[in-house]
Amino acid sequence: MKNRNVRGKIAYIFDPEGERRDFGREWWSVTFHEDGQRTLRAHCEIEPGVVADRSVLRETVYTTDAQYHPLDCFVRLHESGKFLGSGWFRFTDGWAECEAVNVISGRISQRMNLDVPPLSFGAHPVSCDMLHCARFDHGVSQNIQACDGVLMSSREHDGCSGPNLCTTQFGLEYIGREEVTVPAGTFETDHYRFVLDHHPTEDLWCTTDGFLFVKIAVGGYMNAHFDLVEYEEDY
Amino acid sequence: MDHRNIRGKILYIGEDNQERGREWFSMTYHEDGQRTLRAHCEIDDTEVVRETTYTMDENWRPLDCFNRLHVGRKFLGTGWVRAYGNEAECEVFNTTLGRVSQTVTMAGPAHSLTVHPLTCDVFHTAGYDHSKSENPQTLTNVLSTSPMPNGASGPLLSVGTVAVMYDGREEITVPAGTFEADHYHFVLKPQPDGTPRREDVWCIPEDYTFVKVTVDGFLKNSRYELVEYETEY
Repeated sequence: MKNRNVRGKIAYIFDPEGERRDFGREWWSVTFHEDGQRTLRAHCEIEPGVVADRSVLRETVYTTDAQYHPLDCFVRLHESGKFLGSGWFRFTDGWAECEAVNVISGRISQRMNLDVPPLSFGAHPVSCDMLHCARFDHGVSQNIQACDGVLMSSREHDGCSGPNLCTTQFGLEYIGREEVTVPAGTFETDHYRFVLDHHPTEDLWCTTDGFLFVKIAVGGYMNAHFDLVEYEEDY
Repeated sequence: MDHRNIRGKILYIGEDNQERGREWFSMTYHEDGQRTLRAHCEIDDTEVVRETTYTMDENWRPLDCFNRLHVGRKFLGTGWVRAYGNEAECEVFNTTLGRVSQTVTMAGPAHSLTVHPLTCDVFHTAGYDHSKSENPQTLTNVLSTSPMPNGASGPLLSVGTVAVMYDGREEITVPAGTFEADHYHFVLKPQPDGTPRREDVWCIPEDYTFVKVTVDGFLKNSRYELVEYETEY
């Protein structure tokens, strides 16, 4: 077998006045399968106080096709130490579906018809945020480009609801190619920006060969950055 | 946040002493008693790549599980299993079967779930009741995501039994270190040609963390050893 595996760890950092506070962490790994599918696994831990007044533990296993269109995803959530929900998403050209159980909603089956094939999916690990950038069309001169009808597992900023199917939209801007240094090393990156109506602006730096996470900076009330602190190939 | 994380790596080694696969796993012991195991498994010779995220309650009984398979270098299936009361359900998409919704009814709550990472084999032994003198003990209402020894089908649910025999506490050394371990083996039916089959399991007491497995009579008489182990990584 010739699949490629990479793994990393991300630190969630809040330092508005130069006093660094780590408020979370994310372990992720990606398998680039021989058939072109890419599976990202992430385990995320968010401590209370920066994004929301609750802690979040999240499991995600998200698979896309070779063009980074979503195929299926599993999301499982603990909120403030207690189980919140578990769900499975699947995406086809004509529709998206979600089978989930949530301690408040109970067992739900959702089906959403899609006019166009699903563009991308927000499952909320910051390592998954990068995959939205694959939707930027570098073949056209327009910058900022609209990403409408992007599917999500939750509309909460920390992803701590559901999981269930919902949609959002944002503008995607390409800033350029930049060399970025983070604790895991120095990387040649592509720099993108999410321009959102109801969320602070988010700057993202990802590798140029697979949209792998390097760094995110979020402004506004969150005033946080997310740095790659470990990175390994073929571990 | 008051949970605990561990992680490890297992090597699959054939009877020719060559590596034939590997498994990375990590586990979270949640504040509410739930335990979530994440495993990524690769079997080289039968070309299986598996993703598993499996959560149990505080008594190691199955709650829900995600399972995704590549077999023969191609996607085979993805599915979500949920156990509740005396029932279990499975929502699946498989390249051969298409989209399937399955519900199975059992005589009682599910004791455990065979989801095929080696780390998960060990969790069956949590159903062994050490307060009873009976040995071996048979667990009923055991779910499985695939009847194949390497788990390379479905995922789709079936229900069966698992017979577990306790062989005592032993000190065992593997590449990840030396561990005080509980030794169990599964009492298995022989192959159709009469070849006996056996699977021996060593795990850390109370936590049921994988240390070693050996199989005889199937799965290429392999041994599976913990080669990396970290707590609070």
